[in-house]
Amino acid sequence: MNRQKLELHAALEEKERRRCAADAEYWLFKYAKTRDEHDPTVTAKPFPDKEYIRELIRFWLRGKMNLIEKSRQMMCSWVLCSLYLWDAQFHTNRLNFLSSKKEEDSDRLIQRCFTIWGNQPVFLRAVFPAEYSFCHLKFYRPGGEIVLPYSELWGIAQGPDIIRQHVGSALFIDEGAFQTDLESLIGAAKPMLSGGGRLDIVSSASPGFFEELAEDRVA
Amino acid sequence: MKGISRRRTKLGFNILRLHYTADPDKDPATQVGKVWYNEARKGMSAARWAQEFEIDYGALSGQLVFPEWDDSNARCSLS
Repeated sequence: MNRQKLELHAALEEKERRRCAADAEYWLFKYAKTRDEHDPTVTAKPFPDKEYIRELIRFWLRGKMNLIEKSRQMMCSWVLCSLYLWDAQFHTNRLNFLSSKKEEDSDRLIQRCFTIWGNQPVFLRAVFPAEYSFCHLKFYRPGGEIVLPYSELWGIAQGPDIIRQHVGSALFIDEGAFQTDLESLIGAAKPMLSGGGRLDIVSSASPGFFEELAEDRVA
Repeated sequence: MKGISRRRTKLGFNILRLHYTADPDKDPATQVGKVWYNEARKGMSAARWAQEFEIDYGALSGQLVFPEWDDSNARCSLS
């Protein structure tokens, strides 16, 4: 490729990166690819272009205090992992928590984020390098001298302790109806919410505090 | 949209209810959804189905842990 073509190519990539940063829905359907444990024939699977997934993304973009009650097998966790990755990757100073009942399960959520990151094309990965370790996915500036991450995803077990110690940018609680201390966890996230952060609780049904929130029985 | 509803609580939570019928591939009203539905329901008690797929919070309360257990086997008769 001659220099002119290279410059044009770089400009087009930059334009595409900006579009992805501005439009989560566009990025998710074009570049976010999952792994299907039930389908060994495909290594990276794009999200099916279904209207309910688009509705879910738009719902997430509109509000910052969200609760999603769902049937099982709706791909909600994959969508939320993608959106949390999108938020951390394309924005600065994000400390996004992903909470599950056990730390190992939270790590599985982080692994999903890492899978989606790794399935992106090189022109995105190269500009947003990420490093995975147990329960953490950290984003660094390429070739920069600053060694601290500009954003981070952190998988945490149920309970309020970590959220109380660190004021994050966002908290995704997966299968919240099955967390025994959901009320305390949400309580610990209040400073984050009042500082402009976001809270997303996703779950299939089970009696308890999640149900009370969903049914508007909490004063 | 079928299978989706939204509401807002007094606390300020935006609630999205996402039922499997929002997915045409799971909606029993479609051919492919009917196949999925019949397959998914296999081996699942009505109460468990109601909780896990119909989003019915109280479906399992008061149910036996093993609903397939034959009640008559649990009785002990004295003679």
